[in-house]
Amino acid sequence: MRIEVLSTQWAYDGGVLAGGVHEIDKPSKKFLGQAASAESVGSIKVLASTEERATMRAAIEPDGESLKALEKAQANSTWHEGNLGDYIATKTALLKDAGDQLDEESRAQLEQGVEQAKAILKVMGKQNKKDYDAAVTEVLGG
Amino acid sequence: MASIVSADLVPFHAVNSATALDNDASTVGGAIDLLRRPDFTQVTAADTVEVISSSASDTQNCTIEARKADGTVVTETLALTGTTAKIFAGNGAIDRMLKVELASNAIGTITVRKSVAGATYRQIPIGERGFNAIFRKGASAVGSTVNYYVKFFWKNTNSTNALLTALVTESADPSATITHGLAASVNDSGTTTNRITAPGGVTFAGTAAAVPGTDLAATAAIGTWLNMTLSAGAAAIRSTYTSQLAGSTT
Repeated sequence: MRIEVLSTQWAYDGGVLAGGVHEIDKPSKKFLGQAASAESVGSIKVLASTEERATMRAAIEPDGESLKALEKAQANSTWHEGNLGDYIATKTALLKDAGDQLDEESRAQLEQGVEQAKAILKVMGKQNKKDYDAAVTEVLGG
Repeated sequence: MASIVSADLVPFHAVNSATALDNDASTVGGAIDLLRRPDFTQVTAADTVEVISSSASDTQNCTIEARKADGTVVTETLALTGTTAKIFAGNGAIDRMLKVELASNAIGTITVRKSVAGATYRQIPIGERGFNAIFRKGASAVGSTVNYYVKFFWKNTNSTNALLTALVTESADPSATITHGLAASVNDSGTTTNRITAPGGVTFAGTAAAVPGTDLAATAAIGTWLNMTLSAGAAAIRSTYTSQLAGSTT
């Protein structure tokens, strides 16, 4: 197979390829999977045989399959745990690093949002069966 | 049913963000991509990143594209190791992340953080695939102004309640280069020819923009276009931009 590394360098499990064109003799299944991943974000271009291309295709989950997993995670509230965790992490960092660039109202809304998210996560942590809506209702007292 | 909380209002990319926003030729915009987000905390300079999951089953490949302090763009693809942190150090320290993409959906909540066990840059919730920077790999021109256009969505993920009197505002634009404008209708799939061509029917401004129809219904999303203007010969920018969706709830 032939790989053109479009960035300055592509590192993978077990090696590094500099920018430019490389001929790879007998690539392993693991290497083909990693090449597929890098190609999917436009970091490399791959010229592969039919068999190699089939292995690469199998290594990337179609978005449609991911969406099914996402819907399931949203239905059982496990997605919400990650979403809340991300909200807390990114907004706390935003307030710390760039809070002085925000207007007063935006800053207050973010601070309130972070506290709400922490409280909802705390309630979810005590639930036997995760239920995001029930946790929100408990926190907001609705 | 539960009222809307701030964390229910989530920004998502439009489709093909991982590749279309890299060049001046690809179509930009389209429908919402619920698997990839445009927001994250940027690394501090000279960082090394690591990725860890709450699930041992997360062993898929993860690709991180980044820019180093000298300006070069580097990429690394590694297989994750579940609940053991995988350190992405094959390219040395990086100055900023551009893309983080999983080869398959996150089985547990995946955390991208400073190595070792440092500050969290982003958590990828179960089912999602990653995140990438919204403006990247652009450049100013010597003798003329350059405009870049990108689209993302603000989605009301609450399953029952509308966000009332919904407004999208620019909370912070420290580089003073960005204006925004909303799509003419919710849940749209409008595109533009490429990232240097203005989308039709979108008015850009720095002022708050009302969501068409006033309220953003449960599960609805509003396409939000951004316009970054680089003046002739503008210096390099390593900056942030903060958009906010707000409204009231019952």
